[in-house]
Amino acid sequence: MKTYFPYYFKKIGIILVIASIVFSFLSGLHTFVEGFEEGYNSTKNNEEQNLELKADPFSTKTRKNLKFIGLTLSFSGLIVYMFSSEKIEDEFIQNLRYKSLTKSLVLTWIIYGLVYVLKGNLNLERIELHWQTDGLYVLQFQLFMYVIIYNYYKKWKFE
Amino acid sequence: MKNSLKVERAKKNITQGELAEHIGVSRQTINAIETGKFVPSTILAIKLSKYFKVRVEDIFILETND
Repeated sequence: MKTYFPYYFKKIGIILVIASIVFSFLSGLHTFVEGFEEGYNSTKNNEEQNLELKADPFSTKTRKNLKFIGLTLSFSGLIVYMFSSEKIEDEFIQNLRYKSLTKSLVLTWIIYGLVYVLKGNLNLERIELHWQTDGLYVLQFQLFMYVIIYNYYKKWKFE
Repeated sequence: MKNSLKVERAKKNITQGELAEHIGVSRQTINAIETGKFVPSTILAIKLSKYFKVRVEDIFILETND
């Protein structure tokens, strides 16, 4: 697998992924607040006043934009990381890259397959409806798996 | 395939890191070769044999099932 970026791009990739986590967190903040509110209120008696937080700090459009930015940053970060070379790039590292890529592909499809089967969502209508986002998340998960497997090989197995 | 890289390295009294630096590969590569988890290319095998001043087949030994 050819690498196109120098070593320091790895750090840029990591920074982009961290930024994407922040954006994704912000875009999903309303679900976190709603969940907290629900959980907190379920512990109270009926007479007590329920906690009411401002569940939606962002408008739907802003949330959508934040989600898009988060996803874009995460893709860019993972791809930059994947295509950045190591300090010493040799045949063994190349071998690890191929191995990690194959394993991440196989594992991603096994995990996604199992989730669809176990959740009972293996239904063409649903797939069609959510195809666009589901597809992107599959790719994102695969890139993430690649980074995990590659680092496991490099830093743990052959350390 | 067996190899006597560790023995050759011990004879020269150098670490995996030092050998890796001389050959121009990563330390993980030397470790993987020594533990038999990675079979190097012909180029790398020749580089190693030249460094230790022995023949390639003195470091890398074919086994019956190879």
